[in-house]
Amino acid sequence: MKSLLEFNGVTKRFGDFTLREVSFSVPPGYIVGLVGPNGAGKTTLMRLALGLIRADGGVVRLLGEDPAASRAAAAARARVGFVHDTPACYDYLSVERVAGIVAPFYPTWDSARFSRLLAGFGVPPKAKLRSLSRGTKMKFALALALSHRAEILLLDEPTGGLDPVFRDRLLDLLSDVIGDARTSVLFSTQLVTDLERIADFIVIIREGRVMFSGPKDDILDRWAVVRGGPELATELAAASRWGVATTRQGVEALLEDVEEARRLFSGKALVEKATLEDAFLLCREPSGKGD
Amino acid sequence: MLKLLRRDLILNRYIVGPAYLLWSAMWLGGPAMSGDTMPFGLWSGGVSFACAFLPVMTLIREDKFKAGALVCSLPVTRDAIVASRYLGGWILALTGVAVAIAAMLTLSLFGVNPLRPPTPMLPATVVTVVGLALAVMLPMVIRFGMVGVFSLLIGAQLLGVVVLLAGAMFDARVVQGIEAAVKAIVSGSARLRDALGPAAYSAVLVAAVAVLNYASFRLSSLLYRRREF
Repeated sequence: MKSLLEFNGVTKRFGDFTLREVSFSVPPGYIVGLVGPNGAGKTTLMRLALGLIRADGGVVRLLGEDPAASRAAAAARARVGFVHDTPACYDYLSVERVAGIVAPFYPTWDSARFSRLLAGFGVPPKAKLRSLSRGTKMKFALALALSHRAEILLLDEPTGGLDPVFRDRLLDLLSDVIGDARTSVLFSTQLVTDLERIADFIVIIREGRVMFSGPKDDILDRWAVVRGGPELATELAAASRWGVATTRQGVEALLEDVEEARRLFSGKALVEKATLEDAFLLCREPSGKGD
Repeated sequence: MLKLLRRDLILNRYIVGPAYLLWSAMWLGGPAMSGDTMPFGLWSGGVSFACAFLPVMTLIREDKFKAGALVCSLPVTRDAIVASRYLGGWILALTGVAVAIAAMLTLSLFGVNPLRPPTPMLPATVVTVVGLALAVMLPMVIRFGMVGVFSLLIGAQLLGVVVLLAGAMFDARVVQGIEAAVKAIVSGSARLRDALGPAAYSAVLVAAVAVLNYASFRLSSLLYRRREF
């Protein structure tokens, strides 16, 4: 299965921030959720994927092309839909005017679909962008991204500013989009609940480093979170790849095998199947305790 | 390329039209109110230099709206974006000059003739001034945005001040040398024009401007490919 987007050992440095040896891929027909706190490197990865910035090291491939290279990458971008984390620009133009600027660049632009999406999302076509709320601007950006039959959607925090009802609809829509088994989505967010609904694969990124990359079900079916008293700290640290977090009640750690966790800690600690939120909170460098 | 030009036209239509009118009025007002009769070539050279700032203004607006990330996310190469900026820049600047010249000629229909009649060198003068200004400014604006153009203008002024100070403080020959170089270029150009005749001389100037703009375009492409959004 050839990946539509691939990061292989990618590094990028910006002042104090460094993206370190990031590797993961987006296979066709799947939704990959990129989750991490603010400043983790999610937007940097999206910008690398679109060729807006160049990697200092490693390889980025978008639809088989280096996105920072010239002609072939530009052709590949015709098959990409994107939503930037700050979608507003040309605030003085109307929704339909901005669409009129963007549409001619895409040979597969579907005006009827765009109109349907705008109507469905409740975005007034005549409204000036500056009069729209952040959530409505995001809906407009999504309508643009979804109107040219893209093979891969790169959505940088698309649920930011959206109300829960529309967020729910968007997640359904993205599930429909990948229904053709050809289209893929890379979806960055800070909201783990979004990913629980739709993601097939999860990439957890923290401080520029990928903490986990793999199927969501691996986490939900096999992982365990172990919570116990402070006396278990050493034992848990030895058992967990990610070390131990100190909480007010004691310590907690993430283990990759729930059966093994039960065997080691039943009776001494509370062992539960991990949720994505547990994974998000506890997947970290072993030294990062208690924060 | 045409899609990019169309985009620029849509984005800047409310800025460019009023700028043409305002600048034309400004450029008509000066000579019309002045008692002297200015050479048409000198006036059109000034108008051309001012109009070369029109594309700079539109590029600065693009930076203001942080639209670079959107444009570079579209299926176009960065070279095509730069090429459209050069082509669009020429169209904007030359249209501005044409509007001002048309307005001046219209004024003369009403008996106001503040300028001496144009010479055959007029088109070459316009092209040379616009071409030189764009070739110098566009790489800086395309790579560094507003900061680039201000750095260029302030840097040029500072350089002038430094040269003058250096001449005054250390050796007046520095300033005299620069003056002599400028005079040599002017007199050399005049000799060349006399030798070749206006038509061939105009062709040489336009060819030189074309070469310079191509070099400037290549430099801008190189710089823009490295620009990160």
